[in-house]
Amino acid sequence: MFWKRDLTLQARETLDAYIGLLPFLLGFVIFTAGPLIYSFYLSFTRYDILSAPRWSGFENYARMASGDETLWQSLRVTVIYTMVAVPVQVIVGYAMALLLNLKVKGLSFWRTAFYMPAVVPAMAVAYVFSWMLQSDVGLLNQSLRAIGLPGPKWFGDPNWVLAAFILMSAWAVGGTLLLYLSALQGVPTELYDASKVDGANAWRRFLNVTLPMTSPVIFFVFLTGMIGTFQVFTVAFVTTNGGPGEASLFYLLYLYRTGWEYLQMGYAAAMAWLLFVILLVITLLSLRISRTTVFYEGAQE
Amino acid sequence: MTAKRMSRRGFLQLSAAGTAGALLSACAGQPAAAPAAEESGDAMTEEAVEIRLSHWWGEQHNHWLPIVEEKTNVTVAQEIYPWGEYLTKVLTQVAGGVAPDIIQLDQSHNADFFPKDIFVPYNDFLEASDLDMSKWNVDPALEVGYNGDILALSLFTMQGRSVYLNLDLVREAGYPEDELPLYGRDNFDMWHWDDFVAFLQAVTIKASDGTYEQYGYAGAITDATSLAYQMASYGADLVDDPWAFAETEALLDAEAAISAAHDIVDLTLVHGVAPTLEAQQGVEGGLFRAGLAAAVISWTNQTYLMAELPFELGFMHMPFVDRRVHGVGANHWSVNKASDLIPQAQQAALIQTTDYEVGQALVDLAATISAYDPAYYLDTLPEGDLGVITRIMLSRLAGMSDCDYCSEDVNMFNRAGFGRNGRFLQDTIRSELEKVLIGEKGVEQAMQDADAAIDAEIDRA
Repeated sequence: MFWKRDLTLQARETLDAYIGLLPFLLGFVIFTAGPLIYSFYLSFTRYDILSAPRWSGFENYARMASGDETLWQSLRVTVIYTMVAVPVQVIVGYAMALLLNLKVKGLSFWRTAFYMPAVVPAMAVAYVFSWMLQSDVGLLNQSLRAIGLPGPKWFGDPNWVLAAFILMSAWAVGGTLLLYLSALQGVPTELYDASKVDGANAWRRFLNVTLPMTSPVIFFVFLTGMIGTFQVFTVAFVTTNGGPGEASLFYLLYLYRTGWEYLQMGYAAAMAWLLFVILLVITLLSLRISRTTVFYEGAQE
Repeated sequence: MTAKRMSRRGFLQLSAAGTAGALLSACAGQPAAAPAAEESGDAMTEEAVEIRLSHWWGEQHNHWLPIVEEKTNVTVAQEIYPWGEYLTKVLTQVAGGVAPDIIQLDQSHNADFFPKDIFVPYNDFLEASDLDMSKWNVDPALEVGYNGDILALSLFTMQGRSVYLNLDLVREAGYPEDELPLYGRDNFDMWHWDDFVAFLQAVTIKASDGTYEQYGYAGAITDATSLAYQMASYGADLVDDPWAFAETEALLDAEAAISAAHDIVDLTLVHGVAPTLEAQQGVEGGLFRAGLAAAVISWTNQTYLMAELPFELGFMHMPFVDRRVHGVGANHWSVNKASDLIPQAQQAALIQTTDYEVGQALVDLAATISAYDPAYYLDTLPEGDLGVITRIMLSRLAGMSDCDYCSEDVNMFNRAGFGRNGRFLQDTIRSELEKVLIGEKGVEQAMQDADAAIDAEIDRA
């Protein structure tokens, strides 16, 4: 191009790189960084969408800290859910991957079958489970009754409603299968051979070879799973809308209500930033802990 | 002649630049609408112009918009969004300056928009027209007004609430069908709430192990609208100013509110005629449509409730406590102040809401009665279920039926009089009533807590 003729080769290379990056950079600035910065500004305002934002200083943050019981209830619900759902997802997903890593007949079928729930839209999952966990005529409670067990009220009982959501999340655990399987298949076979020569049984080989070698992926699934569970929205919105009472009022559901129903966008933005800080702290803590628990092949001691 | 070939690098650069250009142009505002053919508010414009209308009514407007277009020389481009995302869509359109010329609203949206100076008041326009303002079903300055400005024109006379009955289940329970206060009978609209509860008890059937074979009523009631209707029957409102968005407190700790809340939750907790929250979970279309409940309260004109049901339907008016009630406030059209086609949009709205040919099309399609001069259409109502439920709805309006006592001392209340913090109020009421249903709180405590939470929100706002 004629306008590049006077540039040095390095400058041309740099320019080419930026031209290539331009679509991403524009998209990032306009659709990610811009809204991110603007939402930080909004968190210090009162903004109802239809009027201009009005500066309110730290009012929104003060309200979160002192005067909004519903916020803390939604945080409590989300933390409890995360504390149970994430380990379930990690452990069940890993166990499933171990099984599907075996050389059994019809392996492709089983892998497809177990992965399939991960591609079902959350709305469909919510509808199916709201029927399956119906207390009177639902499939699960009917099965429980058939073997003489009383079925819980699931979505209608504040003590069981989170268990119902955890069950739903466990059903879609196949989404982690691909990651786990690729990690399991990436474990060098010579390590297994060497440990066999050293007399290690299957359990020792799992503990001392498989687990450490796949620990980066387990940690990744744990971290992304945790971020995901903090952002549960669709299934709760469709199934219980936060009820009964506020027993399943997840954080994001309350954030959505605050922003789009109560039109308190400034407060909703502050809530979003609180969520960001919470996730950042947990992530940093996890990364710190992972230094001693996660094995990275080739990492410097 | 040799063709000059583009290098791979050149192609990539061009693609990237093109994509970036497309991205930037997509972020630009939409081009300004074509200028109005005429700046005056004359009925017919010289040149046909296109105005935009947003609504959630699906294809229904296609039945009468051709009439509007013919009478105004305006073409109407419809932007149809599902009800669930309608408010979000319109809010962002207004905030972004790209909202349509006419915005259809529900009464429950008024508090969000009316105080924000978004719409053009119709006052001058209506004054300049030769419209007989006394023919509106309800004074527009009250129903769709704010501070004396008429900010919308109503599309239909507000439907009241009535009771849908599954007559097959009523018979199965052995209830004497001729005692039901169906339309046209001597006891029509005579039932009080206690009569209704006694009926529901009579048509509820339980098996020997205590499980329900059929429910009397179709759902556990926790919604603010039902509470508002029941409170209105006691002559009370949810907030101290349900019309002008200037409420200073909720009235949920009042005796009427607590009695009304008792009435609706006791259907489940005390009388055992309605399901628990968990029992109604996951039943497609609800227990009434599933043929598992004998009665349900609904808006009068609910064609979806009647479609393809495998049982015989019956209809009666909403039972009352002290006073009969009728909810006011339907759906309406407002003209966007930012529109370049305000006179044309106003004219289209006027024809849509007051023209008799359009009104007749509403009646013909769904037995829906225009808000302007509703009496005009009485003789044209269809026979059959649709006609019956519309006649039931009209019976509490003076001069609209042969039932004289039906329209005596009717409490005409704002059916969406939830105030400026309407959705917060609705969520709070639902949540608190659910807590009652799951045994977490008593009714009194729940209503006091709801009252305190809403008062705090009013103060904060």
